[in-house]
Amino acid sequence: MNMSALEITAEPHVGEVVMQATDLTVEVSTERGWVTIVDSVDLTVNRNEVVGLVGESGSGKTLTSLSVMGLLPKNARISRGSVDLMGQRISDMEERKLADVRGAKAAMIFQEPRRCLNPAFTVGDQVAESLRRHRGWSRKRAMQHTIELFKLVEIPQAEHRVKQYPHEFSGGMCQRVMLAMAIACDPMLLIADEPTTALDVTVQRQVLELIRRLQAELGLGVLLITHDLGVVAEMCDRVSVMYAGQVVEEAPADELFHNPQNPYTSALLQSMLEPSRRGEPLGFIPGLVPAPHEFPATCRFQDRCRHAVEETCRQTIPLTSVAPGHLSRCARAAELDLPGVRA
Amino acid sequence: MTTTNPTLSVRGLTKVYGRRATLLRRHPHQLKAVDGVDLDIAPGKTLGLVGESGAGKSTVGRLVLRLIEPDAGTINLLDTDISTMSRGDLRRMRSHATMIFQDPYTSLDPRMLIKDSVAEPLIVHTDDNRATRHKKALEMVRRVGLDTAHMERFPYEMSGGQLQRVAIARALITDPSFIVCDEPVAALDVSTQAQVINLLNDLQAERGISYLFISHDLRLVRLIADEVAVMRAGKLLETGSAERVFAAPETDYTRELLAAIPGRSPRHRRFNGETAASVELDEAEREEAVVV
Amino acid sequence: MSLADSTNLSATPPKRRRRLNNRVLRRLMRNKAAVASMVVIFLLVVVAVFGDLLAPHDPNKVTLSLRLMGPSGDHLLGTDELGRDVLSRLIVATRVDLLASAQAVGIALSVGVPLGIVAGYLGGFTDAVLSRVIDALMTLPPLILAVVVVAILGPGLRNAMFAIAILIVPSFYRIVRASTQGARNELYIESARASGCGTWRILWRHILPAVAPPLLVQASFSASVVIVAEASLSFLGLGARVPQATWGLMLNDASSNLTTSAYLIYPPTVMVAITILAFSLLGDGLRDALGRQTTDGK
Repeated sequence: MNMSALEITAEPHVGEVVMQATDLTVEVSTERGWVTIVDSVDLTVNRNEVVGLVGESGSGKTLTSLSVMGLLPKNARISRGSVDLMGQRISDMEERKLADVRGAKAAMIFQEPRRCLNPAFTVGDQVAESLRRHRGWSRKRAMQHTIELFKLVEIPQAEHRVKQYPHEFSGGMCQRVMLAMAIACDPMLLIADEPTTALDVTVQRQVLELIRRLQAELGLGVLLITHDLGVVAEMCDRVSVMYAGQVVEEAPADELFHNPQNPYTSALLQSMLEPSRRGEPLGFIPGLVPAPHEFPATCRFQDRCRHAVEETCRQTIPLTSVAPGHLSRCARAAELDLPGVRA
Repeated sequence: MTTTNPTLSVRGLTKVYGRRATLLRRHPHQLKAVDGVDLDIAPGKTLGLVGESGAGKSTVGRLVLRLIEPDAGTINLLDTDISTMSRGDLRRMRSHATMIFQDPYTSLDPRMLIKDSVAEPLIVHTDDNRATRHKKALEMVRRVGLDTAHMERFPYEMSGGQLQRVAIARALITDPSFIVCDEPVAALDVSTQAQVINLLNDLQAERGISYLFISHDLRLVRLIADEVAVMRAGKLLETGSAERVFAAPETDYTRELLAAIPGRSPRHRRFNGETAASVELDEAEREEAVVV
Repeated sequence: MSLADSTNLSATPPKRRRRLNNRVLRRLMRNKAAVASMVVIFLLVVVAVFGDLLAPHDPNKVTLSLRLMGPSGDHLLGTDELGRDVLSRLIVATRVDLLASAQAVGIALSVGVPLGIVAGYLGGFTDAVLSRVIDALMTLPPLILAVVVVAILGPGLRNAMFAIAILIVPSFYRIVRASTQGARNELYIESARASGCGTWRILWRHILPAVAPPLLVQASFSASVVIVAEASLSFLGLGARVPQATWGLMLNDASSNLTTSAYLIYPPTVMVAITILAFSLLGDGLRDALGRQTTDGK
């Protein structure tokens, strides 16, 4: 496969499933024993699609993404459900086989790119390393390909930059290096966990546009994990909103922003910083996310919800379809008229 | 004091980091973190100071309160020149002008109860006895939307949003006229950010406090600032009323900053798939600027 | 930060609220070695306080007719070369040893802590000068220093402890200085300055509580070092002097009769071993319990 990564050979196969998590349940060991943090999450990413996974701290979005990569920390385990990457079940795969899948089928970039790079090696060596490992290429060939990859992620003076060390790169440039490393082995799935949260706005824009471009050119499925609804608005085709370990709403992006069917999503959209709101108090959600060991069996947003009704909400609420492709976990979804983003 | 006088007026504020040239070190290794900054903040108004990381925003915030010593410039706070003030006077000044920090998890002493953290400025600035201090602290804690139970907690027992409200209570307990807010909501969740911002706004309306509001988030600054100052590499690029700066930015850099604000919904996408080449170069430049 | 910690950040409801110190204590209590060592230290303190009542015989009563007797019903641990009851001497020596070690640690703390805090907080020239002096102190060979101090001040337990205190000052100084430097850059210190707190208040109310945990650990370890040092110095005749009873002196006495009554070496050795083990394990336990607290506390 010579340089094929750089040629746009792949026909867009919309609809081909790249990653599928089914009933994914993740537990973490705490002082109180095993506590369920991620509860029965269903998540699908297709080719040529950017799926947003939105949630605030404590929603379980990061653990979800880590379990998709088989990167769960030692004190966490998948207790139920499965994860399939390109039709291959990875949730019960042993670590050594998993290492081959990672990188080749799926790759991940993180919030703080600099911390993912080893300061003692040149960035070029670190990207080439994964090519040599996964592809068995020679040093020279791997380095040549690395230079091509650097050009692909728009690092200027690629030939010169591959020989530099991480400290000579700014945050945005480090994230580009991570992207080059991520796409080095032609993965089909890219997981981006808050990829621009630590970056400046102008750099954030560049990195997001780059991810968009790579996604389109390489036909990637992208799972974008973020808390920033603005980033979601710019990037995503489909969005899953997580709250307290559960998916509470899943919908096409446009639908989600303009016609939310879950009070939490709606409240989150109301707390977005919109310039048209100048002078009026900003919307916020009172109260706190419940701690994982006290997740109720009933609606988990109940205590903070403006629309909660005693009997209706005090039961286990399933994730149900409210419209084609639009799921919501709310007992009152049908009767409520929830505001979305102002047109 | 007349109302027309600005709460804070800064001229030629400069801070240089690094070492000067000496006999043995011919080439000075210096970085002008803040370079000739002029600012004015009117009573009861908010000046939003925006810029990207490394622009020197936080340094300005600390300089105007002399938490860091400026190398040049004058600082007029509440009609007093504080740039030459003695250390004792400076400490007394801090009951009128103080600061709220970015990370509420680390800006409160982890070994102090919330009530002690909130009441601490009273110990320093007043002769109040224990009972009075406790009463005032409780009032303040209630004012920021927390209750008696929170008084007896340690910081680790509370959420980020609650802690930032504690930090605000602590800052406000001496009834200051000016507060530097250094990215006060950057560490908070979206749904709680607004709560803190609303609180800051309410308190401003209630007490006529002036804010120097430092933020990298232009969406936020646009919502709450009366005046905006854009900083880059230690220098002030432009200042003006918030409406003017956001509607008709004068510099390319401000325009780029504004263009980088994400849209509000998929229908309002703003990114167009092209990368601004000038920013690319600028980033490289900035890296070099660090090692002038 | 582990995942468990991050999940704990969401607020704990009031009913399960715990005090900071209780959490440390709870962790300490879960550590069996630390609990055992605390029990041992408690018993040692009881023995030290009530030693006069507990001792079956007068520890200094010389009965030459009963020299070097093995353990018997009357003298549970036998008698020494002057016919004194070994058990009684051991009990009385506990007080002397514990007091001596408290004295040495106390002196070292009262010198090392203020210097360390000042050096760490002020930095710059003050720090440079203080640190060089402490470094110089550390280059002195311990035994030589002890000999010199004893030569100047004269022999005696008190003077020997003074010498040992000088020797352990650097360890306290360094720990306090390092922790202070860490704490100095914390945001809550800057916040205290922004609220108008003066330097003394910051040092006393914010820095000192932050450096206390590692200090406590070091103090516990030092106590064990001092016990050994006391034994060594007394053994060499530089510490306590007859007829005072200390574990070190008892070792000294025992060694001269090593060929005839070897068993005499055991009682003081066992006491020294138990004591230093207890202090070391307590130090370990404290370090674990306090260490985790500081990371969770964020």
